Amino acid sequence: MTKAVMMKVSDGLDENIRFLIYEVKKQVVRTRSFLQQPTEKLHDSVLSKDDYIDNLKSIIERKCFTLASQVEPGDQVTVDLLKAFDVITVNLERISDFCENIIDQTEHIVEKELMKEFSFGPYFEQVVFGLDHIERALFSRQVPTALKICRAEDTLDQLYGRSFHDIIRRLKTGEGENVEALITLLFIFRYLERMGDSLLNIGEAIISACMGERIKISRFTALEDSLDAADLQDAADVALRPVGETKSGCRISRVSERSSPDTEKNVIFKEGRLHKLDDERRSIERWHQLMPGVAPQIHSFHSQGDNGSILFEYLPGKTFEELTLQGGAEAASRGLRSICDTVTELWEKTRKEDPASPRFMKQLRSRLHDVYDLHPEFRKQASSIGDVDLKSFEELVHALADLDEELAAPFSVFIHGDFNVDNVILNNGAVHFIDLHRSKMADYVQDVSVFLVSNHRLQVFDAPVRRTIHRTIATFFEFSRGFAHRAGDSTFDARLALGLARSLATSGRFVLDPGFAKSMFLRSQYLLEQLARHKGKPEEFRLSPEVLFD
Amino acid sequence: MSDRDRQFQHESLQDSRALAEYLKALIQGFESGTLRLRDPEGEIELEPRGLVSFEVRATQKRGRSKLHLRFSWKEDSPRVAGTLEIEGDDS
Repeated sequence: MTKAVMMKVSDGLDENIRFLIYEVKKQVVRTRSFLQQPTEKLHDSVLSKDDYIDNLKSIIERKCFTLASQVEPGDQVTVDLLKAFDVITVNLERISDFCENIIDQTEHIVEKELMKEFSFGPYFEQVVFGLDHIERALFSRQVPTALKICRAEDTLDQLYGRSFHDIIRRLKTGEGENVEALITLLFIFRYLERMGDSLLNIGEAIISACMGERIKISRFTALEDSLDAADLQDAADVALRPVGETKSGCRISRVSERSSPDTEKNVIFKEGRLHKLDDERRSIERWHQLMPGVAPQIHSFHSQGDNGSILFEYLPGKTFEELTLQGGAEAASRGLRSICDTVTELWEKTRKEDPASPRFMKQLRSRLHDVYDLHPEFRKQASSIGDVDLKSFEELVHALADLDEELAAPFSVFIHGDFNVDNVILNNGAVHFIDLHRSKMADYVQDVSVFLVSNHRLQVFDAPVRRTIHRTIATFFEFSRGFAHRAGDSTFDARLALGLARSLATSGRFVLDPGFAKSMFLRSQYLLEQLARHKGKPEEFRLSPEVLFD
Repeated sequence: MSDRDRQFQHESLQDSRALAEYLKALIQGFESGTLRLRDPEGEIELEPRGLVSFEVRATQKRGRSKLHLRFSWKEDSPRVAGTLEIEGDDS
């Protein structure tokens, strides 16, 4: 933490936050007393203190914003702490508002005696318990204490469930002569339950500040279980760093020990939909059998309901994307050679004489509406200039359906399935693949086209980097065609044209820049026109990698 | 824009062989006196007759070449005032 900011944080802000916690707790206690014995004095006291708490919140927020503007670049710890302060303040003030709401509600209950039949005590005990732990969890950075705050929400939810059913039963069985009062009581319980939600937000904010990444309690529990199953560190002692979010919605973080973040003990924590992660686990097991050392080791796999999490070995090195953008032409070229060696081994080793039909046009058709959603201007109808007909994109896709069905690789190999430049990691000549949930036996041209387009798609227009990208495209294209030739695959060019057309057009769903997306879409259309115009056999079709040059 | 004002626009990526085909279609239009451009919204019929103002502009800048052809003329009748622009781009 920046020394100056740290000093100010401890000088002023922490004092303000301690005060706020104290005042909100007093509000909660007063509200509890009021429900037991409503008095004018307590009523006024809760309402007047609410303004004071509002004011305190404004002071803290102002200080947080001022401090945030003074944080030195890269000082993530202070930024995380200030974010936590902000979330805690907002939620404490919300708890105070709920107290005011509860007091207001009691005015609608004429039969005050009815209130005595309900037990508010256990709710208030949970809320006070949660409030009592904030200070220690926050200022001593204690994850286990923050977890206790989070768990108060669960208890409050259960209490609410019971109260809810009790009230509904009374309403149904005619004990509900006091319908208004019962419904008002339900609102009161609801406000108490919502205090639990605020406590959960507070607990999660503290855990996030301690771990360095925003984390929800369900995710924390998954991490805890995964680390436990793998006999690794305790979840409370680790720091998280976001690595990315996959297009399929999985979240990936790098986990390190909080006390020594740069040790080799780092692991990767991936969390998302169970079936995707299950596919990935199974496919990784196959990778280990077929090409040992290429896929990361799995330390543990964990599932809960529809969600799952995997703890992977952390693979040091650079992705091919990082190597291209930061490593320079020579490093990229060396990396590409290693990739070519690895895929040659993969293709030769896993080759089975079962024809593989990639069905690129079918894939394209199923994703085209997502592209049009983002870029409606791409949807064009057929037109003509004089006697020359200009087919629409969809007409071209339709016209190539037969060819798409007919074309097949004469053999199958095990493919990556999402062979993007950021799914290949290089480390001193060693090649690793990640994000493997789509791996299967298929046409290798699928990987070739995705890899080529993912290079083309890198949105860096610096001339030397662009030259490196062009060299990669040309080299990988020649390499794959060479393999096809040796392997007796005579329709490689035609399938690659379809594969590139598919990847270029569907990339539009992830590219917001309309100019760049259009350029890729027009290239895709060009490839489809080339194929549609081709009169000879598919084996005679020739493709030039120039279609991917700028 | 009046009811009769119409616009046709097409944008694509082509190689020289395909471009020649499009240009031939245009040449044919000039030779026959009628050039039809059609899209789902309708048809524009251009009838370049008499004197046609013709402009050629070519540029080469930072490795990017552009060829701009512009034909414009006044129709005899006030039906349509024709303008035909062709742009080539090489990067």
